[in-house]
Amino acid sequence: MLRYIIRRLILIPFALILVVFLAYSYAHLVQWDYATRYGQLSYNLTVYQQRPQSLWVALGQYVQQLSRFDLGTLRNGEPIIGPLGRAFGASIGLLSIALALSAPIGILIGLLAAQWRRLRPAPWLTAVATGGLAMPSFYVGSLLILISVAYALWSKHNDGLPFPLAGFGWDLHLVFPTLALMVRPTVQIAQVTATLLTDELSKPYVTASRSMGHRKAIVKRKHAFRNVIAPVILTIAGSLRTLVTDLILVEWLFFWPGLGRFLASALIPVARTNMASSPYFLDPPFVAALLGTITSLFLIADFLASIIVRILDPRLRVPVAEEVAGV
Amino acid sequence: MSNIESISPQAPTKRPNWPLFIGLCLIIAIAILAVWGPTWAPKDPREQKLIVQIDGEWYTPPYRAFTPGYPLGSDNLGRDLYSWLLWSVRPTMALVLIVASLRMAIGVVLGVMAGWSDRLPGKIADGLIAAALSVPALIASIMVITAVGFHLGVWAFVLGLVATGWAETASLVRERTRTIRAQQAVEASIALGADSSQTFFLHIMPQVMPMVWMLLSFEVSNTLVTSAGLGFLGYYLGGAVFQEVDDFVYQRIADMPELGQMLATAWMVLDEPWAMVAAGTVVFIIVLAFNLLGEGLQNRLVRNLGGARSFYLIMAGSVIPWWDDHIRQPVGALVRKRAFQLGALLFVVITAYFGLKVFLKPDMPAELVESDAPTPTSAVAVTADTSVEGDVIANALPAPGGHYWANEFNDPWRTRVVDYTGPTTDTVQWTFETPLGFVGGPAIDKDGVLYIAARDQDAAEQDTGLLYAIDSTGSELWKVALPAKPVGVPALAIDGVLYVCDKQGVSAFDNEGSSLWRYDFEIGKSPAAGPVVSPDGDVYIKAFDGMWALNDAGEMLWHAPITDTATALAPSLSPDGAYVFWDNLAFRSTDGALADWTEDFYSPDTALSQILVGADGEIYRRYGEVLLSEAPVESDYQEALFFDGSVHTWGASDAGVTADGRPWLLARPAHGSAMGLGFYWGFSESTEELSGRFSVPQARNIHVLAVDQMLTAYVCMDSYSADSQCVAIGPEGLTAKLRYRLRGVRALAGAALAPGSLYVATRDGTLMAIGDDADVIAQRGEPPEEDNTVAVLSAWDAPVYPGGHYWSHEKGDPWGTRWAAYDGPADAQVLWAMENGAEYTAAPVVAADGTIYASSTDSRLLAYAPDGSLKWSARLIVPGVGSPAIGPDGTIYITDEGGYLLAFDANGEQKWVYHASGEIVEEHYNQSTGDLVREEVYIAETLRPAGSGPMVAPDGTVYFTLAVQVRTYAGGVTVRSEVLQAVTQNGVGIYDAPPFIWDGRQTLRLSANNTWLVLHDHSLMPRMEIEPSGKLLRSLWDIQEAFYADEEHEDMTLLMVTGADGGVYQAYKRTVEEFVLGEDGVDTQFVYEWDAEASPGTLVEVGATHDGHIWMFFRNGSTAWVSPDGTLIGPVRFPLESMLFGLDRGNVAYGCGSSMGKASECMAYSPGLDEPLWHVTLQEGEKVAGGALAPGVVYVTTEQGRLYALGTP
Repeated sequence: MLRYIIRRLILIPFALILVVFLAYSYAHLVQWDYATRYGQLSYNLTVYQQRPQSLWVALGQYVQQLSRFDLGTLRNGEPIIGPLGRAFGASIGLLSIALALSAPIGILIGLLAAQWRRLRPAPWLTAVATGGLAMPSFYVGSLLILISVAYALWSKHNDGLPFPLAGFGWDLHLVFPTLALMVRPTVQIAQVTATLLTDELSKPYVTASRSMGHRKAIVKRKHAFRNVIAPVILTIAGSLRTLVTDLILVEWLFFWPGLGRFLASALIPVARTNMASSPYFLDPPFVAALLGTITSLFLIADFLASIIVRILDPRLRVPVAEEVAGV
Repeated sequence: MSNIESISPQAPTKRPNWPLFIGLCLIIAIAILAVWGPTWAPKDPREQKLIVQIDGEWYTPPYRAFTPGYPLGSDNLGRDLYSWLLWSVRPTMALVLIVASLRMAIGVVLGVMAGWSDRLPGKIADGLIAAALSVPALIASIMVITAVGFHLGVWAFVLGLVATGWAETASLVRERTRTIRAQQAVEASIALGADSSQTFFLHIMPQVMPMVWMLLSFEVSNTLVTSAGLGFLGYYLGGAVFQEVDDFVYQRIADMPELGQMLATAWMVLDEPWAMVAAGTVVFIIVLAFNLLGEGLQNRLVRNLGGARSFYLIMAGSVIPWWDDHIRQPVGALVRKRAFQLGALLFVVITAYFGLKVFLKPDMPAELVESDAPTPTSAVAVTADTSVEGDVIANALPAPGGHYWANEFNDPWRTRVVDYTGPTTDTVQWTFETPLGFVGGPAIDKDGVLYIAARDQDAAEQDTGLLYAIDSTGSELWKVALPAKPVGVPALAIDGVLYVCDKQGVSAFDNEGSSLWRYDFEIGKSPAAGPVVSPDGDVYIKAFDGMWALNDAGEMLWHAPITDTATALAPSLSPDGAYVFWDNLAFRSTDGALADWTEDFYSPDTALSQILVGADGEIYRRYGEVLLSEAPVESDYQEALFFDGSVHTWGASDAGVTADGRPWLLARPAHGSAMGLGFYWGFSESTEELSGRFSVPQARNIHVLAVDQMLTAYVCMDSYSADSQCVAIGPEGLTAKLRYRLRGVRALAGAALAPGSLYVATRDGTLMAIGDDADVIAQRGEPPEEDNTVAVLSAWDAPVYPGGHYWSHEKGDPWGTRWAAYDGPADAQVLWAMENGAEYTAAPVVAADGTIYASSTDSRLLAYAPDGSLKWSARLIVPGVGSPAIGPDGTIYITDEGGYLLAFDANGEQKWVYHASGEIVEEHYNQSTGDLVREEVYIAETLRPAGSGPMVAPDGTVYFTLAVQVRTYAGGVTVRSEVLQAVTQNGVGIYDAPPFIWDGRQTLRLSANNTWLVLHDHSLMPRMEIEPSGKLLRSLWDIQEAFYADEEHEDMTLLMVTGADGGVYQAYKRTVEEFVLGEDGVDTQFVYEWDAEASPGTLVEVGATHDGHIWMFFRNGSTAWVSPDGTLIGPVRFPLESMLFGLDRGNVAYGCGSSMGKASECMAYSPGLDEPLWHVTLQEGEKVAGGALAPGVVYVTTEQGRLYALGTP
């Protein structure tokens, strides 16, 4: 187990270095490509910042900078660590709340939809899942906005909208972004749980357990569910990947100043958004730091999931003998 | 797609496959919508409607959902969302299907490869899948599209969405293949001796193929979700502009209906989410449909695995043996191995081809216009009585009463053709300000008095109005108050009575400003546009509820309701006064009865767009971009066809015909940006050809102001992205003759044209008179249309630069004569040498007060007093380029490496900075056909200076050049291209889109009559003559052709210069010639021809002094003079690597240089003396950068950063 953990841990920095290197190179090269088209950018790069045009020189400087634990500065002179830290906090908060809500809700729905001695889970779940999976997060978000507006227009209350439509805050501002983020992971988790559980419930040991007089609920929750918990947790960790994609859109929609919004403003040219000239656009250290942060989020989630799975599901633990043998 | 992984391998059930059924139904519906949706759209999706009336109430966009006529509401421009949505499914689905098919093909190929092969290909495929899976598709798409640039259009999206999107399919196919490979059937097949391909086709493919359709449908829904996300973030097909709707509030206006774009455009207004929900719902339904289909296919798959033979298996079982025997074996091993790849390739090509057909016409041509064509009703022949009697003469319809500008459109017929010429310069003669802004342009009476209405507020802050009378010099004659906010442009009756509309009614004034009468409209029926007065005095007013006719005493004659629209468009009259036209409606002027002219369609698709009157007195009907001269008979319009602009344009909004029957059209360019607006001139002889066109990429509120006597069209417009401007377009020009760029103006109220003057009023309250001085206007009779070659020469005179500056440019003056009207030092030593610390790259210049200006590479502009003390130094952001230049008023101009032009006053205070902005479009034409081949767009902000300093003309206009790009020609020859920039002395750009781009490095010089010359020191394009407006007059080739039409001229002109005597000289290798005005026009006359042996070498510079001496400077430093009688004086020798600075009043030549690494020497040669007058050796190692001549002193800059003053102590 320990060896497994160490092996997984060693991989993380390598993957991180690769991503940071690729992201920096990408932003650097594309940035100079854009500089030939946008005078302001080229002026900024050459005159004010005097950034090197050669990738290798730039990478060298960047590595030196990183070795001093300095993530660099934005084009407007602000140290990257400030906005990045704030964005990380905002996104992690949103993500963990969304996951913390959608995992138990999804599992609960999955438990409810699992059927005894059938091929597939309850048909109502299929309907809910098909609908839920077809709903992009920004669509859920816009529906929520529509409902709010409709509520404000047609209700007799004059005390404004029930929830703020946009903005940042650890209060009611969280409601809409969280809801918009939750839909897909929730139905995904529910679907996986229900499908696996239905499959599990038709196995002989369940029949045996029932014949011994255990109640259905106990068998389902205690016996069968424990056997499917590992793939469910892997699904939860995997849904982080789709969540990050959704995070970009949801943060964009609700003006949530997190990693996703920064990522969009770092990668999409000003001409395509209505934002004022962004100091983030293709700024190599910023793009590298941003993608590095998101990657480490993935890697850590993957790592934690694989550890937790092994703790919860003894079948997955590598037997000591095999571990010694290096299998 | 996680639900695919959960395929349960158990016995099938008998349940109906609901998901498959519902999914298929939905997809059929979507397909129908994609194919026929656009034809069902009730409106043109791009048609804007800025006000509608519902139950007597007026509404402005965005209209809410369920507004009558707008089932889903509208966007901020009043464009119908329902129609927009119907149009948007097609391009989106085409893109999604292309991408999904490509993803599918790549995914299946790589997946099968990874699952089937254990060797290198399999491992590579495995690695690729793992790498692609690790990047979320949305992030990968954004990164790829940003990297390749969205100007690639649909390809950028295809590339971005395919980049990693295939991975999921590939991993599923890989798992499936691996499962199959482990089957006993496969093992058995191999054991029985089947070769790899047989196993593959008979065992693997039959089991993979059923997956493909299921995977494809999931792929479609995945792609759609990703591309919708991209659109939501601002990445979508088609273009968009941002329109400022309020201070700092911009609204995105897209030009192509597409689902992603709808999401992007809509979300900015959070409290009006209709559009986004509508588009999102469509996305949701499509995703749902494909998910259901996929699920249904998956269910089918699960059942069929149990035993039923799939179609593929049946086919494979019966066809493949036959195929093997009869086709496959004969075809050979090579094809056998590649069959699958070829099949996949074919699949991709076919899908891509059919999908892309949708994109081939992204601009949505004329079929859009078909929308609200009313059904034909009765056939009333009204054309017979509308034509004017008698022969058509030039401008059959001048403005009545002799007024210059009788109403918004010059005359009651809306011809806009005037019998005089507009201004020839862009000088602002005067401005007149009103605090709250003008509501329209001025009307101008026959005495040149301007009448214009402006907004005002009373004490209670209620909107009221003011009517100003302003004389032609810009002073206010009188003003009267109006009771409400004025509307439109005042109108002048034939007797000089002035009518002006406001929100409550219409007032009549005499030309002294005393009120004659007033007619009040009921509330809600207020005037929507300015009045129009017929020659017999009747007043027609378009109000919100319809058309009103009043007589000249202010009594109502009739009222005709117009129900559904309220555009602020003034009516116009038929030539005989029998009809009042408005839009495509015609009212009888006697009783207001609506004459239905809309019954005659020339094609079932296009409704009558406009009834218009030409200056030839004819009535024309405009159907979209087509002008008909009379009502078509049945559907045959060819008889009546007058002009068809639909080849080159679409979305026409206005048209007109000049007195000689030449049509013009205001429309969108067929091949350009959909937001562009263009003015198109037709030919009077042709029904289709264009004689001129001029388009502006981001124009709005464009309207044709006037067409003057010279067939110059004056077009004024606002812009989405820049200042408003008025443009004068000649009948043949592809570029503007003149551009009146209105600095800081974002919204025009209106404009009017008087002889020699253009009056422009703005919404924020400035009235500008642009044009010629009054005496110039008075002098101008018939515009000269003579041979301008002769005109150019005959106008020459010895040039004198105003301001009394000693050495205002690098070569002394803007003409580059290098001649000074004073004496240089007769004897010299170093008076002083100032160290600067950073190198000088060019020559200094000397102002009238003796101050020496030079720019150094440490980004400073330095000013030294004549005694060598530093007066000031101004910091530039980046180093200057070339020499500074001094304007007539003493302003110092310098160009810097950032492409900026900076102006400093004599105290070193920066006056302004200018940089070209916007887009510079270079049009490439096919030399033989004249068709536009392609356009290259350069972002002006990125351009760099071309390497020389600015040039200031005597009128204060500053010219400089910008480098566009380096072109590489065959053989590796690289040539830099440049554009000309012109800036007024106040820092206002004159032509923001420079008129042409030339190849090669040019130095700017002026001809003696101030026709611009662009001269090159070497041979590529030695001379171009450019009008002040920036239009290319002719190049050297034209000139030579004109002069030497009868004789062969072998030598190529190397130089063509203006002399200080006003003459024009050209030089060949060994020959100098002067242009002279002979009896037959321009001729050339030999000045001097060198013998081949006696020639000192290559001629570098040539010039003439004031007294007619010609001087020649050769590459090796030799200098010679030729006296006016043709005698050669000299040559004398400067050092080998020398620069000739200039010549003084006594024709003494001053220069510096060094030979073969020796110290630089400066010397002065007097003509006729073999020895220099003096010579001064500079410090060791100094290299001369340039020099300037001042009375008694020579100033020399060096690359080591010293400024020397050489003179007599």
